[in-house]
Amino acid sequence: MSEVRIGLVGYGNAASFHVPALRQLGRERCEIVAVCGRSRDRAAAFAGEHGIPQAFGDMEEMFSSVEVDAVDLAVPNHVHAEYAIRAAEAGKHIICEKHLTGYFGEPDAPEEEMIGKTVPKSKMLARVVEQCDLIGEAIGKAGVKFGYAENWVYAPAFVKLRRLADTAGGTIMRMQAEESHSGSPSVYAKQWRTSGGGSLVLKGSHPLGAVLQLKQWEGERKRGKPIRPSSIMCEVGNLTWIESFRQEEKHFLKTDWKDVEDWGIMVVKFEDGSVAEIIAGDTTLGGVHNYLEAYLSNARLRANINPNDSCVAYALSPEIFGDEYITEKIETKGGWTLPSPEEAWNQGQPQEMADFVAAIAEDREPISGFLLARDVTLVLYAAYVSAEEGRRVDLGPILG
Amino acid sequence: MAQVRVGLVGCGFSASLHIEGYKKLAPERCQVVAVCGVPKSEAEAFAAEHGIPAAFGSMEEMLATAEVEAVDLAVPNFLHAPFIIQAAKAGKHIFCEKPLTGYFGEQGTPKDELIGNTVPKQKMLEETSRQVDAVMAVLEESGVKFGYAENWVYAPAFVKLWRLAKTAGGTILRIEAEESHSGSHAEYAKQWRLSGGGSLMVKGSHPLGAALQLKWWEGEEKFGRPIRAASVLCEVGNLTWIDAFKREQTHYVRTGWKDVEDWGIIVVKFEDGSVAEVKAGDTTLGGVHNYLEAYLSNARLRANINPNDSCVAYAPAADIFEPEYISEKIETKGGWSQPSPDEDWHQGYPQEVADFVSAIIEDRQPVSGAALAREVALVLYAAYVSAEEGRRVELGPILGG
Repeated sequence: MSEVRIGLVGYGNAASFHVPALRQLGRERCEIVAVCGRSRDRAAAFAGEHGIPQAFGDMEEMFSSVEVDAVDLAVPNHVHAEYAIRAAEAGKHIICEKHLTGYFGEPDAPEEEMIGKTVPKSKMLARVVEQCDLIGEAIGKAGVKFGYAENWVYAPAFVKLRRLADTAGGTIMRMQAEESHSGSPSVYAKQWRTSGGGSLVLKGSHPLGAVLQLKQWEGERKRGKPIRPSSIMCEVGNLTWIESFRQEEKHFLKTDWKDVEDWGIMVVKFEDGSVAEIIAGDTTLGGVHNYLEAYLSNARLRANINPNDSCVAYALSPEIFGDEYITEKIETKGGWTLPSPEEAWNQGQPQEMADFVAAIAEDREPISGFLLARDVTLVLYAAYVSAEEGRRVDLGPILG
Repeated sequence: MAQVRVGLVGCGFSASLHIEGYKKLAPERCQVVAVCGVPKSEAEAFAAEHGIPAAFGSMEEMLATAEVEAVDLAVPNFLHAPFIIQAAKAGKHIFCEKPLTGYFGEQGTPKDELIGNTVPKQKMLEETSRQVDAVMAVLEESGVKFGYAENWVYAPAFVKLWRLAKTAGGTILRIEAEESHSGSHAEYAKQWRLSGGGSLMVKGSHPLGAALQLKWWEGEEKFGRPIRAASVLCEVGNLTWIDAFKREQTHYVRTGWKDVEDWGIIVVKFEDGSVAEVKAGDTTLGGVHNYLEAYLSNARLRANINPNDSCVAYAPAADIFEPEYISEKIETKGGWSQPSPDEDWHQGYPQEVADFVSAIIEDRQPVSGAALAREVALVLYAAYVSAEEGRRVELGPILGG
């Protein structure tokens, strides 16, 4: 029997990513014993496709029929909180895709309401604080592990950066990090009701999570407690709403953002006086741009998660590389490119699953856990308050 | 006789940068005929070193005695405004180091007062705005040419970037630009009274100038009028004041900043909705880091002013390349490095001087002129207000129509 028996919740894109990552760990380490989702038929189809023994139309039904140690929540963002609480109450460990939670409108808000325009961000923040508290209580009471799927924390380039930073031992004075590309293709990303925010939530949460984690580690190593973020200033924009852009005949960037930003920047100050600049955009050509740079007092480090030049290619015309994958969101295969040898590995996706399963098997906290999930969520919504009200927001009272 | 005779005001670091630019020009076009400085002996030494025929102890004396068409103001920041006014009234064309002006305290302020801590930034902005108005009025009245020594606007990589942006024709949606290094050596950079600000003023003015210029040009190209900055949000910090840093035994970045920031970021929103992220720091290891990246709707462009990989070197020990120059502020010559083949050229120093001289001969304004100088000074001080008050600052009322 496997050490960790996993029940997969959800059968969408995220679920398809997680299955091979979990399978890589070996059957004696972990096994996906069942899948469930709102539609039993679709769950059954997913189970058939991926060779999962059982399928259910409801999570509690799965719990009462099969023995599972942990759930992998690969469901839409707006139901993370609800599923996480129910799983914790059933005593199951939790692997949760980002985000922990967010604001997606009141239960009775009409589907088409542009809540990104109508609901004050301070109200959103208050609701999100409540949600985080509820999840935290449920996890704490049940004593289950919570793995927050922030893959940046596991990306090999980032892990190496942290090892070098640890060895150098200098103060991390400034961090600069970004995730950008030419725009999410999915419709759900374009409306606050389904996404919980724009570029900052969907992309910025990664670099934000990584910088918060770095300062957390630095503090734990040097003084036995994390260095916490203390204030935030944020600006957001809709660059695809610029008049001259709209008038252009051909758009290479995704358009039609409804009530969410397509670019944002957060400037975080930490309690020790250090700073982080975090940028996220859906308006950047040239493929996914994921990096983190750390400026220490005695070293400078950069993790080029994507792209990096581990492989470099050139082609006179785009069709020369045919169907061969180059890299996420690159618009052309012509000219010079930086093909990704193995994108999931570079981005830390198999590594995060390995850590979550190991944490459960070894009864320890995962490297990316609930504290990080909560901090990222609250800092993001505090950032939205800052941008909307045009002022610096103190994080002390929000993060506690 | 040279078409343009230049009188150099000041004989410090900027003066030696500028003189190299003038020397590259044909002598029939331009000649530096005099230099002035305090004390006069330093001006004389500078004159002897660079083969300048005459040296004076003050600008008044130089203007009264030497025949010059133009003055080059390579003097400390707080002297820019009074010297510009004086030179313009004497009908001389002016080439002025950045910044145009700033706030350096009141006349009676004691030399050691840390005005960066004591004077509200809003007051600084108002004073700077008054100074700027006075300078602009005199320049207008006298009709002289004004060259603003924003070398980034002339840096070959930036010029090429603009040519590509113009050809692509897409909307410049976002600009990211930075100037950082491990800290100014000059003591004057560490106190507001002398510098008029910290990293943002001394370094950030370059990437800010270049970003403002890009959107200005884009607007003129597309709509026949500039796209102006509309609001600014800013954060500043003193990273060398972090406790853990202070306790470290060896410091590789400069310390001793008195009342000025050693790191800052300015987020500018333009009137068309586009944005610029401008960063400056005195806490960055690895040599000068000067770049500008422009994200267009149909292209992406990056100007690596410094460093760039036009030359790449590696040495297993730091002494192997001694005494050959590598690049500005690089802490070690060991390991991989990107030696600068001709740093002045990459940074646009000879080019800015050449444009100023050409502008006088051709009776036109220089590419980098008073309008940009004004914009940069006002946006910088508005940014300081934003950081101090922790709020977004609207630029409309400050920059005017």
